Amino acid sequence: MNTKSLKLIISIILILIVSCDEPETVVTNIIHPDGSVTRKIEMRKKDNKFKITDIQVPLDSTWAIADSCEISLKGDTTWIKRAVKDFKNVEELNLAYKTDSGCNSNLKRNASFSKRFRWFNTIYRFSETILNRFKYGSPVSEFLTKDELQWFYSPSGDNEARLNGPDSLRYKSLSDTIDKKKDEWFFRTIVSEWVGEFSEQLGPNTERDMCPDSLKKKENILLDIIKAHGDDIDSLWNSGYILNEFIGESNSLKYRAEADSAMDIVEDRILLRFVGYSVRILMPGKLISSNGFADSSQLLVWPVNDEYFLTEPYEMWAESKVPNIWAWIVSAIFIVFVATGIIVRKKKRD
Amino acid sequence: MKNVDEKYRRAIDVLKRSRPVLTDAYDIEGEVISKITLLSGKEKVGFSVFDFLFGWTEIVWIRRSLITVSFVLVAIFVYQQSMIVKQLNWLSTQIGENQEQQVHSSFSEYSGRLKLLKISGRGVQQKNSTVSEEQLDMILKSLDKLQTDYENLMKILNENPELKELVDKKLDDIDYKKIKL
Repeated sequence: MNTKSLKLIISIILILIVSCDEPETVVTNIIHPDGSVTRKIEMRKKDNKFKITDIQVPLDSTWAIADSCEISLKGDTTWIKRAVKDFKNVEELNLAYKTDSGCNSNLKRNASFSKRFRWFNTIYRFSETILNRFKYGSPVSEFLTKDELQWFYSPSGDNEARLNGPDSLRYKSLSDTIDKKKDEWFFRTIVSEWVGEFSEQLGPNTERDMCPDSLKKKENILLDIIKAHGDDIDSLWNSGYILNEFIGESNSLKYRAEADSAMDIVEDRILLRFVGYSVRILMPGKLISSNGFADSSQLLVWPVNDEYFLTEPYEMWAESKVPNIWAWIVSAIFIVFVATGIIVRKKKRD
Repeated sequence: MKNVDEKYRRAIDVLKRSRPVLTDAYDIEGEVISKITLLSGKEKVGFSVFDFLFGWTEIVWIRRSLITVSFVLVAIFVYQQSMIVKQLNWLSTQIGENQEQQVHSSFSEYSGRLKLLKISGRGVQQKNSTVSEEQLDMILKSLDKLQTDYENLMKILNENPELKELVDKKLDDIDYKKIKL
């Protein structure tokens, strides 16, 4: 099949009919003590055209769907689609992720639920994890400090509020520092990814100066070139200058095909489609621990941005406890009984 | 021997004949009965409650085991509650108040920048660009959408060989016509 021609024709047709705005989506997971999950999806859009392939999380005809619209004071209409489905357990939810055909279907996502009996309380834990897109990159925690990491993972609304509030100068400086460090992290990640893929392409039986460890040690050479010639990378790559500098002229000629192939793989990995959304979790009982944020309705919320799971899995988790009233009563009766026995015995002896 | 037995019998007879003189016989009888009742009552209570419920206190290993279990329960309770309080304190500092209702579906800075570089052959300088960020975002989004739709279409074609053959044929016709022209 003439794939390229077909791709071009279809591209032209689709570009004419395609609308560009994905819905703003909030996914709410209501966790029940038995491990079942009620999942609610709220999608907001300016028009009433909701396509399954535009939706950020799994959604199909088995969901209970309701449409409505809101008109603002200015007269702007927002179309809202709400969908609800009960999942018997997280396995069912994971199956939905596996068969997803939405716009984020290329992501590897999974949910987990655990219930631990701790006599006085039962501890519930629910988490949703998005697996990392890159295989060889370094975690962002190696580049940012604790405070910077907190800023990095905070929802954009929080950060904007800090930038516009008191102490804005300090936050502006912090934000600028983080941006610089993020650039450093991102470029290093791409370099590591390419080096890793290139090593894989070369296979295990290569010369000593082309072994993975040796290439890894030379990552800084690539990074320096990128920093120095940011805008001319493409021409430098095509001319073979970058590869010459990295592995020498003879190796560059010998392994050009593998280098290009590795570059294609890395580019495809970078260009995987992703559209952001929010996840909210409502736990049974009292919340005791989480890595999320509280939204205006006091529910836990996590922003899902692609930089969060670039090099390491992004886990959104929450823990809650439900007191076992019967265990409290049994324990109290038991302790009173033993204490009384000891007092009675002492009195008898006296 | 006979004399001794005789003396004993006589002494018993004398004692039998000489009865004590009781002034308040009824009072004495009442007092004796009440004391007997009180004593028997006390014995009954002591047996049913203390011996039955707290008899274990006299058995050393049971007593020690139950005391240990009580202490363990108290320790678990104190530990769990202190941990929960500690976690809640941490949580209150960790969880920020996020005023925005939801995260807008947008591309991250990097992803977008790289996509742009990819489309433009890695040669675009964003600073000199006359295209607004919003327009770029739209272009990138439509490209992504296009990519997904294309993949879905390819899936459908691969699942249906007849359709694939038909499309191939049509494309070949188009190519043939193009060459002719």
